[in-house]
Amino acid sequence: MLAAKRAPLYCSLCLIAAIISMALFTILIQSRQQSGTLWAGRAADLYAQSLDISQDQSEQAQILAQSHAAMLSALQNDPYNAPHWLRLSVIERNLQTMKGDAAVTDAPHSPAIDIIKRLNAAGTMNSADYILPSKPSKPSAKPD
Amino acid sequence: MIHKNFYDSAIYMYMFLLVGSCVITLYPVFGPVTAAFIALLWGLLAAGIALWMLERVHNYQKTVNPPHTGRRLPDALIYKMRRQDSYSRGVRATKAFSGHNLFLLAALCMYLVWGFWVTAQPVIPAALANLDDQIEYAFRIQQSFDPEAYSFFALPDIILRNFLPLFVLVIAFWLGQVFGHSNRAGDILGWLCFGLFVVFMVLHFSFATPVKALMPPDIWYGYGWGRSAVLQALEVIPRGDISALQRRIFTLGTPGVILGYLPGVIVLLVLLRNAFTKASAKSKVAAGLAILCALVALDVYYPIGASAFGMHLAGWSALAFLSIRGRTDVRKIYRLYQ
Repeated sequence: MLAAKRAPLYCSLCLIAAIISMALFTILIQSRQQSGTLWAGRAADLYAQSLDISQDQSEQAQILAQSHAAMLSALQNDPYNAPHWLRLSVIERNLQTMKGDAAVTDAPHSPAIDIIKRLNAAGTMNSADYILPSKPSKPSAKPD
Repeated sequence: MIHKNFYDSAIYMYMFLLVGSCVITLYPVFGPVTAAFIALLWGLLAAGIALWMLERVHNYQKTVNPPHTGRRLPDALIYKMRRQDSYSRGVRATKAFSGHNLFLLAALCMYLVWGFWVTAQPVIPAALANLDDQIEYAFRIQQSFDPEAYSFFALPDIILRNFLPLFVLVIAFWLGQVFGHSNRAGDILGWLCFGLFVVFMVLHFSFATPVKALMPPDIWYGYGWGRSAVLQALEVIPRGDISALQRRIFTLGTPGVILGYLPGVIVLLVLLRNAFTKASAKSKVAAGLAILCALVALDVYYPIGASAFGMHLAGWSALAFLSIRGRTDVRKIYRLYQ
């Protein structure tokens, strides 16, 4: 009789091992959403650095472009996150402003705006709430 | 109680883990990683108990090697009787592999397979397809973007996020049955779990706001797990809090709802069988039925969330003890003098 009980015990041990593996996988391997949050944090930090007026404009533009790329990476990991799209639209707007006023008026319509409207139909989001850097930016080398 | 072996400690670990897992669901930070930690702890405890049972099933009695053999007969007798007691516990614990538990496991497997299938091959509503096109257009700006290799949903993340809480319930239920069958304090443990469930039910029903009773639509094939938030934003699914039943209809369709309630139906039938065959006390059957009613009310009228999971965990743990038959001890024959 007891020998017949061994098979379900072995099966349950296999199932338990699978559950433990799944739990470890969830804990140790970063989910796409977490990756998206980390990329968004990096983008926000770079954005804050780009606002540092002690740097020349080309450096600022370069950092802002890096921030834009980081934000796109965040969105590729978490594409339905409305605050991420809002951050991207703010970064894009600043990038275009940096290129010159003429470029802003001639710039093609950003798809990010339409996506935000669809994901946040109530329009309750404010860009100032979502572009804050995850850590305070370093103080500028030259005092203002 | 003096801690003599792993089994005695495991009962305490079970109760602490159960209370801890339920309490942690009340914290707002409860998320997939927290659920994974809980699943890991439950998995380790279940692995320990399974190995303990395996030890007893593998010729435990034949390997008796009492200390002081031939020196003092009482020592040898006491040792052998203790060992027999431990062996009997192990044998009783194997009742947790009863027929209705296999039905429960089969029902859960069907639900998980259906959930996996629908999530992997979902119905994409027109609004979501349109949004996906817009997002893909936005991504094409980036030169490194490969639309062929890109998927909007990470299937492994979604599957793990939805499977692990269910597996926690499974392990808690199974361990409850193991302790209920093998321990003489099984009834006490059952009532402790029931008390925990009542506390959680009072807390949940007092503080959670019931959702609006929307007439659930007739959806045969759902939109799959992991898409509820975006579908709510697109107003494919009604905005605001929705109940677990409503969400299940939208995500897994009507078969998902039927398969989701199948384990509850099996436990209901087991309780009724115990009531009609008088194999269990009426109070235990009544408590089990009350738990099932409360869990159905939770699913239908209250929003889905972590605290609802805590209530399910306490409820299913209590059901594990309350759904087993009363102890039917057989006369033991000790073959001590052979």
